[in-house]
Amino acid sequence: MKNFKLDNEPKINSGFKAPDDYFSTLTDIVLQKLPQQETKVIPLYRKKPVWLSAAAIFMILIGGSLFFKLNTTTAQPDSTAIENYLVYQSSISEYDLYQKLDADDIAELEQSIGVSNEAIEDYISTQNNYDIYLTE
Amino acid sequence: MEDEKAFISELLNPATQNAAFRQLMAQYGRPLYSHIRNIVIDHDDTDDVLQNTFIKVFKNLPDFKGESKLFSWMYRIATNEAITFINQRAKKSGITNEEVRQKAVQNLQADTYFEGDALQIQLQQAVATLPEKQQLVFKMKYFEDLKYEEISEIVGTSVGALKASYHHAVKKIEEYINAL
Repeated sequence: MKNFKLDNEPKINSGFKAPDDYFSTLTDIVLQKLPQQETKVIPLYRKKPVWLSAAAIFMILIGGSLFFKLNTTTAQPDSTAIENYLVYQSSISEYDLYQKLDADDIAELEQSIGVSNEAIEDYISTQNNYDIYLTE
Repeated sequence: MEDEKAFISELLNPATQNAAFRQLMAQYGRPLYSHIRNIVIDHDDTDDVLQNTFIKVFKNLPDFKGESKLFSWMYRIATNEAITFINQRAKKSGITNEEVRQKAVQNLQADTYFEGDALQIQLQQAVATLPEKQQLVFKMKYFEDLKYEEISEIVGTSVGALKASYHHAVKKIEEYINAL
């Protein structure tokens, strides 16, 4: 039977060793594996000013679109205004207008104007430049 | 303590982080290697665990409250990583933690990175027969020369309990070697 006493023995080390260049390469290996610094992402809902700005922009967009919608609906010209514009302002000639009329338009015009034969005869007889048609 | 606070600030500041982390590894690389190697025994396994330990230290630094010393905090992470490694190895192989440790010690004679004599191998074999907690305390006290107060901070056990644990461990080791 041996009488081994740990305290009586010279210090016994573990006997473990590392490869010669282990610690010189370890640092670089670990540094390469470290996660990169990431920019902190702050959720939008935590930033009050962003919320307020978003709400303000939303209200402006809604208000603006309503304003333009209302304005455009009231800006429709009536038929008299269109007529006046065509007669006095535009460069459209009578000829251009006649070209756009179809048979239905003419029939409608005859109905609405309601010119009598007598009136036509009176008109022609007083206008000298229609004599040529009458004499033919 | 003020120096340590300044050093931690350097570790957290992206501008000084790289240099500070190199300094941290230069200071703690060897002692943490010894600590982990004493638990997992094999060099390659130690290398894996040590790298994971430093990566974990880096990731968790922003949450380090400074309630304990940086030294004991890092040792605690290293200890947990090493024990987790043993548990995973045991689970994968379908054997107990004790069997994993004893197997590792059996392989020591063929290990290129072990230069122990017959007595050193006997001592490792004797330690491997101890309960996990006693092994840890014995290795930290005897091989790593840590003070009881330091071990207490790392493992969270009172100094009195650690002394008792170490005393039991030494007795069992002596019995094991004397019986050979």
